[in-house]
Amino acid sequence: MTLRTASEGISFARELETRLGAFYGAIGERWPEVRDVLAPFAAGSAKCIADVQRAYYGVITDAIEGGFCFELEPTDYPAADPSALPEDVEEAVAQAAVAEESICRFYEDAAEQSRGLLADMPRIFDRIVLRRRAALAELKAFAAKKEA
Amino acid sequence: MAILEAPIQEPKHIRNYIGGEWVESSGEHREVVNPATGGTIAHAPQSTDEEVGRAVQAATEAFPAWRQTPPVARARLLFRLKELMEEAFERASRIQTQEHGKTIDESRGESRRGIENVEVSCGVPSLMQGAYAQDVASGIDEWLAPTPLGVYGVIAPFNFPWMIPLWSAPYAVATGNCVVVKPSDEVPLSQDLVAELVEEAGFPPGVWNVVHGGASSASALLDHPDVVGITFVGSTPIGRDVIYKRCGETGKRVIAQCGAKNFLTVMPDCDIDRTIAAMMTSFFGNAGQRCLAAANCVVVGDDRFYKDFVGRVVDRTSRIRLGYGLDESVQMGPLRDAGKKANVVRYIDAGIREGAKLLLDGREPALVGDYPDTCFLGPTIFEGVDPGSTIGAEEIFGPVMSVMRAADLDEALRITNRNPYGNGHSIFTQDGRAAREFAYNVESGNVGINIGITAPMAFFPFGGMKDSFFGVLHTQGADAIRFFTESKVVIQRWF
Repeated sequence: MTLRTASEGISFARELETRLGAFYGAIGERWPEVRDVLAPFAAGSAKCIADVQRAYYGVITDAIEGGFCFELEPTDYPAADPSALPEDVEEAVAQAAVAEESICRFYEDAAEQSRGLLADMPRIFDRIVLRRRAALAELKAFAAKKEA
Repeated sequence: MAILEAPIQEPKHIRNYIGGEWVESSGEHREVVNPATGGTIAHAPQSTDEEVGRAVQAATEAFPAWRQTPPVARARLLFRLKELMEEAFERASRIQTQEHGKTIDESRGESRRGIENVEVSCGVPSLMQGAYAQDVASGIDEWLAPTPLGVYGVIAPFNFPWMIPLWSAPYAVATGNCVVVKPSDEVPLSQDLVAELVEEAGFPPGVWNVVHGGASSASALLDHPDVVGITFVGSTPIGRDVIYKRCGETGKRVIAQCGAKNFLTVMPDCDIDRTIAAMMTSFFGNAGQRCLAAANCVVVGDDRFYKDFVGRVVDRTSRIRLGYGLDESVQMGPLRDAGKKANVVRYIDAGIREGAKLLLDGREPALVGDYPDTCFLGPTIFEGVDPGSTIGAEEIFGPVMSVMRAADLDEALRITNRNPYGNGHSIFTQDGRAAREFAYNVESGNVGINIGITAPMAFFPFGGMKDSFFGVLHTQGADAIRFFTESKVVIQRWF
């Protein structure tokens, strides 16, 4: 079902982040040799949740368009699945990168649609995308090194 | 999306909070019903006059010591209260949805707005500073000391059960007064929670009291000789003919923030998508039950713009999801009760009868989820509405948009200013000149430029003019500080 309200959008962001954080955790459990490398990524997800919630609870007022700020399809942003790890670690890291891309897209679209409607929220989304894109580059570099 | 867990699972038996004690009322207890589910969530008392008197007495007794408490110490208690409110934020929000029906986003917005007033009142050591002039004559100095007056009554409406009492009460106690808050008997739970937090914060007994009840309890506050001032938010007939008048008769200070009929002017150069998003919130947010909700949409522009714009508004409106506000996907909740719904339906019938064209009929709404439709009414849109007709002129207090046309901005302003209310009018445009012209000439206490809900932040007064406001000073911000203090002027000479 199309996400339209701020509350739905924030809950969906939380779900994407939680699943990705758990996915990193599951990779680390299964392949302990990459645990330390992936730990900051899992922590990054937790920080994003905190940032988004802090911004939402800090700026939400009855006067902004909280009920009418998004038209987002959840299926456009597939989440990581911590219960379905692939056979090898390279593939797992590649899947994490795909999920990171998906979350970035979600935040970009959410920022674009809510600009001017949700006060400070789009700025937070933009900032998260910047941070995540940098992390994604690191993840891809790590994946490339692993494959080599 | 999941439905959020409701904090009130069993009906709560509501007691008054008087003199730092939870006191059973001997008055009749009425059922409080969740308007979305139909379930009983509380039993709230109709407190007797004697019980109201006891609260005023507790406040009166607390006043001398509270007045002498340094403002910085009072502010620290308010900081503590703010902290507790932040901790209770989600609970408070969900309670609002349960007792009022608004969506969870709207409730969280209301929670934030309420807390912001506590935040502003924390600045009382600075806000309450007076003025000093040395040598007004040779060897004579003069100063102004803002001085608290005693006990204030806060009479609140049903539509913002958490926030509206917080437009007044924190400022009253910050400035050294004591308060008796009387929430609407339809929505007692939010202020019951506020009282719990006040107690936990450690305010001295009697400084902040909450007494539940209806019109009779409000009358008892109005007539009590020890109450020095009243803040009221509600309808114009009650605010003007009862509250304002009786306060005049009994020598009380008064802020009476009353009804509204808000006009939203759309210029052809507006950002259409964002204007429509803002309009959804403005016309249909809180199911139209707010004094800053837009009611009339005045469209300026040629036929082509008008048809395209109104068509898009109707399309977007028809997709609004109606249901229980704890369902995160819901965009509009029910009206507070069946009587209020019936009243809005009467207005819809009047609109049809008087010849307006019904573009969207909300009388048989589709709901998200399986809930009784007792209090639900879908968004409704009329076009071709005469500004002088029943639905064009009177406050409906429901999700009804009346669309009318104007040839240009001047005509839009004339239509808007002809209405007796002046609470919150808006313009949507990208033309700075038009925006200035509108803001300068519109007769409204709160003005929006590309803002659908013209609610001032806590550090600004909540405006209101004409039939929307009776009094001089307003709630919130510096106005509230002045309302709750007397400007005592001392002139001094030493021989």
